[in-house]
Amino acid sequence: MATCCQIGAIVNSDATVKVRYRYTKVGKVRFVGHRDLCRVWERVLRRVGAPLAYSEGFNVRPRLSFGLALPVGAESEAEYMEAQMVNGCGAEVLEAMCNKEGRIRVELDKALPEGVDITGAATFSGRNISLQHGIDSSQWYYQFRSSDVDGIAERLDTIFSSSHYPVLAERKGKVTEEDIRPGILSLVMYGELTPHIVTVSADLANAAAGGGKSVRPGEVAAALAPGISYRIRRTAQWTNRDDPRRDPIGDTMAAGTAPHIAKCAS
Amino acid sequence: MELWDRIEPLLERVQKPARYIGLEDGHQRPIHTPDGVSWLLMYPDSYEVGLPNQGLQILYEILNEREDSTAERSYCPWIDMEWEMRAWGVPLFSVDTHRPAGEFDVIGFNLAAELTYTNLLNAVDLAGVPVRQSERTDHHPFVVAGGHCTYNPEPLADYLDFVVLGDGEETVGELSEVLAAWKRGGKAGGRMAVLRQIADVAGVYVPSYYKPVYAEPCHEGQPGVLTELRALDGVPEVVEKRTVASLADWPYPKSQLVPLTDVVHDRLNVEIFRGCTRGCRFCQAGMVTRPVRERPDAQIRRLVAEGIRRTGYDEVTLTSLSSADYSGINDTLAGIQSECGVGEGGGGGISISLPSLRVDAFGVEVAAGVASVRKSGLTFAPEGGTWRMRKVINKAISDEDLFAAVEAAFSKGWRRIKLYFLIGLPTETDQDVLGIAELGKACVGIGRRYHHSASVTVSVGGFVPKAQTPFQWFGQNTPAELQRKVELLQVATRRVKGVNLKWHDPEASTAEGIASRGDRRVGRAIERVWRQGGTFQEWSENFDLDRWSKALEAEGLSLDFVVFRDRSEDELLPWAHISSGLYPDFLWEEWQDALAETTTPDCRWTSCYNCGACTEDGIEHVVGEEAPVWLLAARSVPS
Repeated sequence: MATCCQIGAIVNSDATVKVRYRYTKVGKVRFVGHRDLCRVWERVLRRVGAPLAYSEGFNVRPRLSFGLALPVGAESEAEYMEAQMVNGCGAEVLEAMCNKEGRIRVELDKALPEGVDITGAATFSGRNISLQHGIDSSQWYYQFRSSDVDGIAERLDTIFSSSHYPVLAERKGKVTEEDIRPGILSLVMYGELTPHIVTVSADLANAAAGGGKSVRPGEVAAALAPGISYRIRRTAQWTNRDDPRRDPIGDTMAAGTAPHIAKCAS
Repeated sequence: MELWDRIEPLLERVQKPARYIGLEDGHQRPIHTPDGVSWLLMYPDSYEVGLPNQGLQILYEILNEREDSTAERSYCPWIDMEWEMRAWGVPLFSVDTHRPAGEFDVIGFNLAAELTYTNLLNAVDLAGVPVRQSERTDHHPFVVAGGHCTYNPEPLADYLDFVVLGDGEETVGELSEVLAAWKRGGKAGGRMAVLRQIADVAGVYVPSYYKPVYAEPCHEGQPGVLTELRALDGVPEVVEKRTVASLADWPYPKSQLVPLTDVVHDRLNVEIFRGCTRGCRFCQAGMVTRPVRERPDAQIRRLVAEGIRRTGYDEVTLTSLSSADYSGINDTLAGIQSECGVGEGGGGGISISLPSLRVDAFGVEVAAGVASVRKSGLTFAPEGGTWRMRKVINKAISDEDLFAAVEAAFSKGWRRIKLYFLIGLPTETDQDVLGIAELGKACVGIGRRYHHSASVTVSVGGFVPKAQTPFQWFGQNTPAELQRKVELLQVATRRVKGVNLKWHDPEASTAEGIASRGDRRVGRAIERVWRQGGTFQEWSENFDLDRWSKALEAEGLSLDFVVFRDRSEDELLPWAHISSGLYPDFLWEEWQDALAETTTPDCRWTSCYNCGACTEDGIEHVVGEEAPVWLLAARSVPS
């Protein structure tokens, strides 16, 4: 996706203004857990002097919110976070935060760890789609360490052509039976990357959006290639299901477009 | 050879894989050259415990700044990762560039705690290096150690190539020069030749050039004591530590490492002075780091301001052995607050903490200076439960001093106080032990006048006598005795609201005592415990005293002989050839004074009593003011 920067119009100076970033998490940094990375963001924003709004009370914290957690070890090209800016924050500061050459953005890019890069920014005031509850689905790209492309293709067809596909899954410490089929919006075979790597793309629903039951990328992997190890990368998060699909910073992509894979091996 | 491709698949199977990836803010990825000396600096415990260690970070920067050396870091892989590494033949590696540990010229360990010794042996083994020093060849790295435990290095003498005593800032440079020359000369003469040269570097101890001689066992079970430690081939009879004269010359770390994951002490640390002359008799750190060298106030403020700006931390700890003793502490605290105070956005501001607070130096002013954004717990260490006990240990703080400090804290908004005490001290009676409970109760009483949920945590640890202190002759309490004292305190504090009693496992204290005052023979017992899988002994889930006592017995030793036994005045102590700069007579006189309940004052503010620390080298105190703040304040009317 092209790097973009959208400065929304500020309706009035009393409305809360937020900056939203889309960022990557690729390479070694994929092993840093979600909560740890949230703490890194907080520290880095403080370091670059971003004029953030703070909570009140005993434990003063900057008002940040983060998108859906990524499992440890998974990479991503589409993670989202949002920072609420201090009251009365002007257009100049927002430019500095969002624009790729903006004075704050430049420092932020330097301060973020290797593998975490901002690929898009947008500002808005007032309400917007929640980064947690407003996500309809995530797109995932799997690299299975296998040469059995036919076997995986067969299982993929079986799963996608069924109306139900129950699997055993662990939820809240208990093993239960879950139907993963309703949550699979699309499942596409991309074939062999190398003789030993088979790649698949999956569009999986996020339950919170009310788009059906949520299904975990690991459960789909286990159904496609049981016992096979794999690398996984989130390539998109979508807020809608119609065409064009829209991401949380307003970027669009025509439905059916192949996921853009920036770099998978590192 | 980069190991990353073989390490990466293992990370998908272990807990907290972020421990092994490096990438911390401030990390360096040096390029090693064949002519340069590459150091792997290692803290022998998990990443979470080792990363914040300031000593290693200082040397990391110094070695990378030099032309003739480079440095990377490593920490002990956790048990699950080690299993994977051994199963797949992946050796110990540096976290910066994932280079195999065996390819470095030197592997340097920071020894801060005796129970990490088995981790050291394990790490050397994981690196593919022979654990025994005598078995290493010219192709193997030198395995070395620094840190406070080196003041009795004998338990690891058969496993270390050399030991760096005292401040390492200058020594590591001199060692790099010797090793670089040796490499350039094609390693002429081999290992033993360069080790002989290294023995000539001031402050460096080379154990293989010293041969211990033991007496015959005198009666059944009791092994023979050490009678001689022969210095071979003209090496110094006594090796004395190095001391940097001025901290101002060493403004490190310049770029403190900021981890991507959770670690202990996760805040900015700035060392405000090194050394301590309070003379607490149980304290090895205080005894061996004399004299006091303060960092200039302006430099402290600069390091804090730059550090906060660079890292984005909002908390800073001003570190030293007794931070409120820093002359001009109030001005420094005020200066830091005004420079780094409330930020642009209205939030922020920074929180300052002073660890290791001396009760008599913590007054209302200091409390106000530290009480800024957030109030975490505050810790005081009276150590002794009664005035009498505190005179014995030379920590002459009255009950009133403690109450005044505690009141200052509670009145300024703190709600939780922690008090540290030792049990098992020399001449201790049950009355002294129960005094701990009394103090805890009284402090809660003070706290409750300010806040209904004020609480005091009383944290009690078993005393382990250490080398180079006046108590080095004292036989340690048995775990049964320590446990009995803990139970006395449990009963005394059971129904007291607001007092939380915590205690360190007496059996762990016992094991600590083994290496604390053991001689070279103890090393074989440590090796046994390691070979049985006894790593991470600081972690209670892995610790079992039984394993240690059986290992000692297998080597013809016992807990009685090594830990519980009093040493006599004429006994040759296994660390007699290691000097922290103190005259041995001074320590014995302090021991006698302790038994007579006589105190010794702090020579920063009273006359010198000739302990030996400030000697011919011209090293002496570097302090900003003539008298400590609290003493000046006592003479004026409090505001």
